[in-house]
Amino acid sequence: MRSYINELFARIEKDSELKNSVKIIGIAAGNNKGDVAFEEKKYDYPIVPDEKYEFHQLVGQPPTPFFIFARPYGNGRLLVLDSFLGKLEDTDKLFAMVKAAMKKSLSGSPVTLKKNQNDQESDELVIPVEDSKLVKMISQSLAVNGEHNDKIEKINLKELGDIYTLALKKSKRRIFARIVARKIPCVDCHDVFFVYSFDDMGQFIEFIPISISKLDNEKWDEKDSNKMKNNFEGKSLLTERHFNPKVDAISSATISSEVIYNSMGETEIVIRKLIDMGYIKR
Amino acid sequence: MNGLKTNPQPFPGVCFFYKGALSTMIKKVHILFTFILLGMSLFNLTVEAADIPKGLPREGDIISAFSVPVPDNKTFISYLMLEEDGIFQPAEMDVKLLFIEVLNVY
Repeated sequence: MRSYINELFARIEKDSELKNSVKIIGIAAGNNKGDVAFEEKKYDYPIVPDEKYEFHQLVGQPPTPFFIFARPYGNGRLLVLDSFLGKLEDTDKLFAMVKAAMKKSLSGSPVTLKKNQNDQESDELVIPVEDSKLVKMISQSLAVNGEHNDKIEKINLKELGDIYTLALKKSKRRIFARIVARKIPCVDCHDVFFVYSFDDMGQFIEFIPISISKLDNEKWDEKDSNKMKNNFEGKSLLTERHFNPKVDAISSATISSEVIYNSMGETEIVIRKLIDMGYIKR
Repeated sequence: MNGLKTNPQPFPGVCFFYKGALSTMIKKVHILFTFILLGMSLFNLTVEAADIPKGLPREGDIISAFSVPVPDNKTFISYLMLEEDGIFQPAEMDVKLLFIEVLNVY
């Protein structure tokens, strides 16, 4: 199944002109060192982990596989010469693309450099539920032991999404609900939307899926949601947690589960921002 | 024979009718499959040449500086012409062209 890039790799390595000028590298979005080491035998070219989705986010969270032909552009930057999405199992065609990209790289002229990348239209995810339903989910995630408070405040943390908060009068705690909307690094997967809540100490409270799918677009059921909730129950979200697909994943939704773990792992940054903004006092 | 029930033999004309209908149906199915296959091949062509969705890098875009971990494997370290462990910037490699596959190993 993986043979077509391996074949391309072999072909480049045999070509004296391309051998030292072209390098193939796989960047594994959301995978850690262990995952990559476990699967390494399948690949003849280097695969490096992008455990925290840093590169994946830098390139606009593409579905995978996504391919980029690029050349060094100074100061650690790359200039994109070509790109394509999805499998292209025709090695001849791929090899022709490599040669064409190489030609562009050497001549430099056919590339029309975009003046400002911010000019690109944004591709923001839209939460796929009505506002009233979303409000209900937020309230549900912020209800702690029957303690309610009508004053829910919304905080926009820009790239970290929207946070909703309320102060509990009885226990004098403040709790937060974060809405997460994430693209999935997989070509057949659907975007992930969920709400989770935590207290001012980073302790997990609730997990409510807004829209999460398994293989074949089957929606998560209550059992799946409960399993994910149980994975975090009674735990602090400030402790670094490594995703173990064999134990932590929901069946037929491994990559979605991994993205949920990654998003929950951002809670520490969220809390730091909330401290800076004065919502949490230390 | 009294009281013994047997399955009635079909009338020969009905058999011919069945045969005729069957061969027409097979022809229709053939035509239908041809259309499906044609459609599928067209679809495949579209998939291969699919437009890059908004927000993803395409020709002329610049990818900001980034670092990735140096592979553990010695063969790969030498392939990438790296010297040290830790992290490295692919864009700082002495190459003319980088072919990056963004993937997930699961």
